[in-house]
Amino acid sequence: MTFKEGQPIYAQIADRLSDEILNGTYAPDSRVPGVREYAALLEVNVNTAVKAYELLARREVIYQKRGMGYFVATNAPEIIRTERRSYFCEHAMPQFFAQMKLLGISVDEMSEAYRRFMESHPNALAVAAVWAATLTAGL
Amino acid sequence: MLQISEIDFSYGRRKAPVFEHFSLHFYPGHIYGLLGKNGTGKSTLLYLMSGLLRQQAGIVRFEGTDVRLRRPEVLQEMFLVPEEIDLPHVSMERYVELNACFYPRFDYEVLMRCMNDFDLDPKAKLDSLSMGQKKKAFMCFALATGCRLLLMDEPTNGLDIPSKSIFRQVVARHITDDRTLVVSTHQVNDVAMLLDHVVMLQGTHLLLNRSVADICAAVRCEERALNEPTDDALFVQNSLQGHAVVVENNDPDDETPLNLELLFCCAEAGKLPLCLTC
Amino acid sequence: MKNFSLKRMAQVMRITSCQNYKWFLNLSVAYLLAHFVGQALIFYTVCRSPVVEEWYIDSRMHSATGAFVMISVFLILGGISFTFEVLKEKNKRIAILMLPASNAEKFVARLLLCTVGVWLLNAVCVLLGDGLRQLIFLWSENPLGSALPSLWEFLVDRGTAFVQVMDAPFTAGHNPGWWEAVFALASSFMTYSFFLLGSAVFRKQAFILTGLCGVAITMAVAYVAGMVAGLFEYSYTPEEVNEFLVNVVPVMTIAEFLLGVGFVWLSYRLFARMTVVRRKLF
Repeated sequence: MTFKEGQPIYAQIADRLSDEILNGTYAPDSRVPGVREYAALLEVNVNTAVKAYELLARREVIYQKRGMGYFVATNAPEIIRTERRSYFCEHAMPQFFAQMKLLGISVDEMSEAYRRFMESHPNALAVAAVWAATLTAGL
Repeated sequence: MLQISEIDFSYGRRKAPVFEHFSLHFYPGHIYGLLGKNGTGKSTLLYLMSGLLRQQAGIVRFEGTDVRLRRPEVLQEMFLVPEEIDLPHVSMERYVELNACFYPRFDYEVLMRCMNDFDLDPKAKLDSLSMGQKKKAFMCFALATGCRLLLMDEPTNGLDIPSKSIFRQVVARHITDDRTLVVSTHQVNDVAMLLDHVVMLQGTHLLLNRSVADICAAVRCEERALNEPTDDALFVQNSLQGHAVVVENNDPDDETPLNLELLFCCAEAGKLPLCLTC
Repeated sequence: MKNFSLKRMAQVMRITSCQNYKWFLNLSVAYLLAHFVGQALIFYTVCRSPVVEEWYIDSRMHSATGAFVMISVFLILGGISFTFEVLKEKNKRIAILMLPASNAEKFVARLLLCTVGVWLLNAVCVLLGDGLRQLIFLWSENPLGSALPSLWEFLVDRGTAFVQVMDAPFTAGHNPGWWEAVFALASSFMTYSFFLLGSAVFRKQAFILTGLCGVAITMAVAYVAGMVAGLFEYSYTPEEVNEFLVNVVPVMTIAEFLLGVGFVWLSYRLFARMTVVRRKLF
């Protein structure tokens, strides 16, 4: 896995697992890969993966069952979405609005562009997942 | 697990010393990266750690036993993968038959899984393999021995790109909490993500000996555009985007991934912050 | 010795022989050729002439025995010179030194292979060399039978003589024959272990270098002994000289035996202290 600079590795790993939970790879209450397995998959030190899992456990996105590993929380997708939503509103939106003002793009232009986008991209999820991952800071 | 205490070493009475009053401790459950410029004695240190070279002063102990004694109990727990490997004219299956009996915790399944990952044929004669394949085969054997201290000298040298990736996966999977891996290398990027402790050598002494967590808490490695200021940087290097900088980290919750190459140059230039120096 | 595991030593012997089997094969062929060529040279003239007298055949058989013995001595000394030859390469050194067995186990394993193993190999090559010679010379004018009975007779003869000397009861005076026999044993042991030490010191081309050293040392010792003897006056009778020699033999026997033990111990020390980076001189 190629990591980007700017965000700690463990946060990027937590993001990746969150993405997989959101897109349904790991359904609620199903088991996620073990820490060592995930570390091997991403070719990172086990301790880094442990940190990522601990972060997700703190956010209550995953929980640990004694002797059985980590499982996806029942309402994990909502938790992730809520956190990313609030991050988007707090950080990405203000930046976006500032750019709009700077470039002189009106609200109506934006609405029109949004409508056209929704028509030509029925499966907004795929595009959004990539976009969300580049914005959020470790959920 | 392994303690190097105040060793002095040089290759001859009239030759320059390689180590002077050098001390270093290795603890179980970590993957150490041993970095340094050419000729700083990385291979020498690995040889001294395994008892293959004898220091002129000081002592190297593995769990209390002097490694120079070459006791079988110590040798069973140590394995060195040298930079160049000489293998006999036998197949891996035969090699295991002959050698595995010396390692009480040898795990045949681990060996087969690793050989499979690397796409190696256990029936092929070992000395007919290419250099890279020999290295991969030997590393599979090393991981399968179950020994607690694994030393690797330039393990990714000579491996093709997919193999480097498989190497990382295999190491991440099989270095368990009771084992230690020490990787000596120039190819910093090949192993950067695997390390959790960085040791840098310079001259006859230690330049840096810190865990990755400590380093990330102490410094940030940032990419800045050309027009952004760099006065707060400890160390600046030119990069494609503009400047790669190392700055002190003032926010423990906001870390950047470790750019080992950049950090190495920073350390070599003597620009490490005081909290990281030895 | 503490912690010496026979089982592990046997495993080391197994590894050494199996991983280097190609080298052993080459060695076997060389040994076989050595004996065969020796025999062929001796029997060449005989087998070419159609009519040969009995006494000539006997003398040839006698020479053949001598050839077997001489060549065997060389091959056995050569064999022990190979004990540490494998350690001339850095990667092989790493593999051997890192093998989880004690220094003693590794040393004894190699030693057994290069002594007992070589004796057996030599014996087999003597048999095969003789057989090969007979086979090749079947097409000659006058093919002769095996030289082995003659060799066997010689060995039995010498062996019984030796045993008789050792068994002979001590007479009222001394039994000089006994000491001479033991002296011969001690000398052989010392020479053998000298070549072992040579192998540990030189590693490469050990046999030749050790041989040269041996010659040089013998010459030096003889020279010094001559000088020392020259300090005394030549006024001793043959009987007195004889008496002196008879007394010196036991001393020299013990000295040579101790030297032999010393050489073996020194070889072990050199091996135990061996490092992966070679000393410059050797």
